[in-house]
Amino acid sequence: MLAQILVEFDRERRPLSSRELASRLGKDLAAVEGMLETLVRSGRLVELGLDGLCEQCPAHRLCIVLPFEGRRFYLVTREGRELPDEHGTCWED
Amino acid sequence: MTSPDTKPVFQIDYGPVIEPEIEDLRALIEERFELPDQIKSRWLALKVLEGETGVLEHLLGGEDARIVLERAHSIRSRLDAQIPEGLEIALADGRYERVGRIVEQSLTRPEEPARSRTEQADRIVTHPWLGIPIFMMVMYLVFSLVVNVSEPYLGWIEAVVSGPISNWAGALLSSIGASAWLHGLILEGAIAGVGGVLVFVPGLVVLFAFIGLLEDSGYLARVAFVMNRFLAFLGLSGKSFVPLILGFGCAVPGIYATRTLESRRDRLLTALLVPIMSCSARLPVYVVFGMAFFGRNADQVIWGLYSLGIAMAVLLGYFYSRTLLRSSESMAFLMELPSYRLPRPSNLWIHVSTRTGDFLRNAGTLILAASLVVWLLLNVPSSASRLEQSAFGKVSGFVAPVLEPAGFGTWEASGSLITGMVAKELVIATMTQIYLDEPGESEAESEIDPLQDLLDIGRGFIGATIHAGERFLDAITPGVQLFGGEGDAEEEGTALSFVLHDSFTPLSALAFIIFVSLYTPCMATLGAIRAEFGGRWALLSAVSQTGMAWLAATLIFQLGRLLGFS
Repeated sequence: MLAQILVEFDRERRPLSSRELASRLGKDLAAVEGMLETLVRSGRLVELGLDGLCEQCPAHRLCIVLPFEGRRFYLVTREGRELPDEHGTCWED
Repeated sequence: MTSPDTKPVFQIDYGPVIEPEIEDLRALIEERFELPDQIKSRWLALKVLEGETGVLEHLLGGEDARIVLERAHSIRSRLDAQIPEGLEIALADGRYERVGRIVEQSLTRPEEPARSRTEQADRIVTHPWLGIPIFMMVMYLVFSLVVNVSEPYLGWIEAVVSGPISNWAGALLSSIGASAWLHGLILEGAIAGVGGVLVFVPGLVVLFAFIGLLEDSGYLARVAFVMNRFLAFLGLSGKSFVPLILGFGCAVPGIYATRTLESRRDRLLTALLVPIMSCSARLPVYVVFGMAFFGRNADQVIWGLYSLGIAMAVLLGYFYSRTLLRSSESMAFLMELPSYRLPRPSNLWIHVSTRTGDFLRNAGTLILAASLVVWLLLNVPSSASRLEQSAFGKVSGFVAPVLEPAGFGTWEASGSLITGMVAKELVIATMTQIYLDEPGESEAESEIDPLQDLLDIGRGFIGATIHAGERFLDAITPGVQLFGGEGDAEEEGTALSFVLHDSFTPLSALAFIIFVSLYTPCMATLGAIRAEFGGRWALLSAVSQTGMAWLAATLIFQLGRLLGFS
């Protein structure tokens, strides 16, 4: 299941929310969040918001995206973080 | 010591690639160590393979531990190369698989769980046909409360700014021997300009508080859900609703919030629509004109302007999605609807104080600076006997004929709209300077009694609060007039509201506020679009919105004249 989650991130190449993943994999949200936390602990994912990334966004104080969409995560590849550019964008083209 | 023949009841199978390696390491551990009963060799082998080498060193240590660790290291390297996701993830995955199977076998889910109150409410609030009308009614109630509750405070703040504050500033300037020129700059430029905007702070506090209430109660999430179908018409998902609703407060965070959308096309289309949502900086214009020309119906007019913004966004979005920004793919919109809950005061406070703070910061910097510049331009050359002959008047007069078909082709109106291109708050700040510019009056050396002034300010605040409470009760009991009569509204409004009657008719006033609600986004918003998508998209936003605003205002004014309105 963890491998499947990583495959989803690798395919999408963008931040995914726990809700989106739970829906895609047909699993309970709580179970998926547990798996995501395992992946965060192992350094394979990084959570948006708690990592200080949101603080770089000019709109972070007024942003209501997190309450709407729930926790969102980024993939970290073996080569290093596949993270936003230096401007702190929260997407990847 | 555990014999390999006595297989424990509970053991996870990690698959044909990993299991032999675990077994190899387990055998090596058993060969090298005499383990205490409570420590299983398989568990220790797994821990070491997962990289928790400290366990082995702590428990056993010595040369034998080094040999085991070296073997574990080589196994890890081999397996990491063989398993795409890595050994650590594969081991965790094995456990999750096992947990999943146990849950599947042991958990029985009810086929149709009992509906909670939240679900019952959602059947109505998120109904395919009722959802949007309910949202429109909620917004009407919000704007009605904003106008009614904030109105009494407008007069109070205006009286404080034009009375005690202007008097104190005038006395201070006189005491330091300031020139007449400096008196004018501070009193008519800075205080009148910034004060003209500050009077709307109570209205904005009420607006932000209600939007915060809707957000914290969980209702806005429902609206996003309801809007999903609506936005699908434009080839967007309900996700775009989040930036759009932010646009009601300020378009700039709305533009940046488009970053959460997946495709560039969705981000761009949403960013072009965000500035059409009426931001809070336009509210002062609506309130002044609403109270001046539409009395008790001001709240309906303001609600209409916000609805017009949504309707025009749909029209423009439809146009873009069929021309410049076509899309064939539809994105799924997934969101969890949180349970309804009572809003937390701390959340509301953060919501209101952050947004009000931004507005006040803007008033103390940009609006102050622009007010001073406008005052200077209104007073050069010094030989000009009338404001119309000033540099500001001449430039504004040059633009005025373009606005003639829309019914407000005066230099005063066009000048206010020009400064409003920098920030929408400046429309009212400029109008206050132009229409209420009566040199000499504010400088009248009235007796200053600070204690009496403070008492008057306190009394005024209490009176405004009582009146606001009455208006609140009136607003939430439609059709029942508990306090005040019909004529009450005629006496409300700011000083600017009254003088506008000399320059606008109700029809031209309506055309003017429609123009303000739709024309070019402010500089900060255009800067955000430029930063995110490039200069040509910012230019397109400015040109398309101004063109749309001119067309809508002209259409309303000319149609109104044809129908006999004035």
